[in-house]
Amino acid sequence: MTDNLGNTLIIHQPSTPTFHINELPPEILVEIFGHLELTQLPQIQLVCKYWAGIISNPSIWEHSFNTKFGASEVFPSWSGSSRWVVEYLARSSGLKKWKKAQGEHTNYQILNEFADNITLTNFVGDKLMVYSRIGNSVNICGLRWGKTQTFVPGDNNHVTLADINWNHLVFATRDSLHVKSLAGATVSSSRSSTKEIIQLGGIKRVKVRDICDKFKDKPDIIICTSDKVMIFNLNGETIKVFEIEDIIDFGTDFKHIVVVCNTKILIIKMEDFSIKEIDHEVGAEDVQDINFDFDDDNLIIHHSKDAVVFNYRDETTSTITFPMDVKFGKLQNSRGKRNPLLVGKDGLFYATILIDDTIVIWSVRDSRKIITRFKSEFKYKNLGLGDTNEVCSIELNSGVVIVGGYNGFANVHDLFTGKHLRECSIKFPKKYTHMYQYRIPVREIKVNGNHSNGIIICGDLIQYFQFGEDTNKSLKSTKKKKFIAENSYKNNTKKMIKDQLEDYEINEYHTNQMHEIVDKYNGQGDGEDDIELAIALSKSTLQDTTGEEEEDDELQRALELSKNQESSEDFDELLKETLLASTQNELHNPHEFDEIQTGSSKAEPDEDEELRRVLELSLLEQ
Amino acid sequence: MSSPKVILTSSDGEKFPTDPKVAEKSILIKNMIVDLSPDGLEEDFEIPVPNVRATVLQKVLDWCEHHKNTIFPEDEDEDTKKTTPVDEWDRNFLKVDQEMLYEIISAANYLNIKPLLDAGCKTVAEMIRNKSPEELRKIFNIVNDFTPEEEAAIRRENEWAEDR
Repeated sequence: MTDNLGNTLIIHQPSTPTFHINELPPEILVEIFGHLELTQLPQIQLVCKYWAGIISNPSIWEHSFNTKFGASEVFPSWSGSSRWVVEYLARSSGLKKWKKAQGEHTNYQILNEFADNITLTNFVGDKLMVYSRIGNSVNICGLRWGKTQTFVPGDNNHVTLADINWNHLVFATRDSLHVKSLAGATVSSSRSSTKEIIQLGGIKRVKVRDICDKFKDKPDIIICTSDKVMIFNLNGETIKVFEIEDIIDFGTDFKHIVVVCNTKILIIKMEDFSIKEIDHEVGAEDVQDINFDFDDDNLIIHHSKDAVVFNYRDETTSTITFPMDVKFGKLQNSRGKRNPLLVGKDGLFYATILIDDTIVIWSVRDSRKIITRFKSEFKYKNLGLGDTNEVCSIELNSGVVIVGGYNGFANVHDLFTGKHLRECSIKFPKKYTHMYQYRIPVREIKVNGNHSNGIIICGDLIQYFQFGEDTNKSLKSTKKKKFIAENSYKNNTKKMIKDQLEDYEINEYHTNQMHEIVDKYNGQGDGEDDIELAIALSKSTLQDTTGEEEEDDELQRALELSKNQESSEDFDELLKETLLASTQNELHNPHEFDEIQTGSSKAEPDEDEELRRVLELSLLEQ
Repeated sequence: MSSPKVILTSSDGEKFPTDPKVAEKSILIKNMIVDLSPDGLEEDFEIPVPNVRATVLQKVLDWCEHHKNTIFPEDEDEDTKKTTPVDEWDRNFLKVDQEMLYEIISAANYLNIKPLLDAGCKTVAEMIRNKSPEELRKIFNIVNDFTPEEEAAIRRENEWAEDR
């Protein structure tokens, strides 16, 4: 019923007592809404304030989360929201991507030798940094396509420990501690930028703050030996030294330093260097590894069959005993200081891998409850790896667990149920022959928070994976499609050139390897840097051609050239042009690409000189 | 001599002499009887039901009468309860106007008759299922008490729903 202004009126009929639905008590409406599909609940919220209030009532949701997702009472929030409806929708749409969205993969090779790596990822800024302890080298490149690789070779081969942030490498040798600036590091400047902080032996752990103080005087570097914790700034000046007995390890978020000793735990406040000392009976003698959940003051110690969680705020200990020994484990990344108001009370999970490769997911905060346990099966088929289900690495976010096996294989499992959702990886291209000759473990998997993309690091190869499109990508790909449609008649020629480029790449790879071996035999000659630069640059240009985006553009240019020449017989010439063009592309901002296409001879004379040298080198190798 | 009865008195003063077996479908009444005469009823027992009208109470007692021999599973786990559809007889029984339906639900809630409450809630849920907010307001005669800003805010918060 509406009035003459079109407003809805409620008509109260005074004769019979009316009983409106909203006179039902809220718990009955909760009951009623509980029978609905969860997807309808956001709609229900829009009906009226009373209904909206009921929808934001947690009790209706907790149960639904349990039945729909298999969530426990305490779990990591996907959305970081305290509103259940937001969490529900974020989780279901996010999980759907992980489960069903089309996968995209790109592969590239990096220059580090692989062992004891530290990897930093910046998914937003498309940056990947890989540090290798062997060689003490750092490689920085685009995360998605492996473009613009910058290789900073190491100058110290006896590194025992290291830590990195985006701008600095801090490393310890048997008798000293050094800091090296990576900002704007080039091969020529790298040697001079290393600085010795202190002569000290027996360093057990090195930590550098993620973002250092630009004036270099705040405490940014912390180390420990078995009897000292020392704090330095980037200038290498000692800020503070703590003499502590029987140190096993320490962890820090640069607000607190948590020092684990044999029988006690010390919490040092960075603000005023005050110390809180707590006795513990965790049994730290046979410690396998220690993890820190600074955002909820938990210390997680694995030893033999046990995982012990020690809360140093409440001084409580709880233990999970597994049926067999623990191989390794990984703590989920925390989203910041724990906020119990979030949906799922801001829980945090831990993945522990037992010696029989069972993966156990358990809750660190509050319940220490085992969430799920499962095994991951890899379909190696005819790769000659047998049917081992050995777990080499693991990664987890708020919704999924990714389990890494050998030679790039990785599976995605549901975090709450352990259910296998999909294969995360595709096989590496055949051109990376070593991937088909040896058994190479997946070293590390890094996932972009709860987004459905990430990288798999296996040997010196990196596979970027993404399920479902991201927003900036879709724009590009429509452009690409249009381009393909316009140029479909060129496809045959394109394919030919592509094939030849690929052959060239394989060839290139082998010659590079040879070079490296020759280098090793010849020792560290003066020419080393030049060669390394050449390898770095020629590789980075080559990586470029594996990226689909750039590929088309490059091929287009190649095609234009080949049209001009009316034949592609002189393939070396063509390649040279292609490489030249793409190398210039590297040196320019990629966004200025159009400009490069129109006037490709804008490079500085110096650069030209360098490029010519590089090209000569890489072509000579053919 | 006839066996003792439970006499239920509605809010409007009407008396309903009821067989205890029927009345005990209400856990509230059952508990009262157990508390007050643990050895079973020896004489008529009057219980006022102050917030249920006679017509509604009659309906509820009809339901109890029909189900007096039905054994409902004891507070089983939520999942099975949710998935079982409303019993055919109950469905027809609940084909009443909205006010009566809510009053039955309300009475079932007060008297603690779980199977009837469930059937009622499921029936209302059926009425809500797959309807737009606008349709729901019309069906249930609800006034939209949101300001346009508030409504927009809720829609924004729910934008997650978009790409499902």
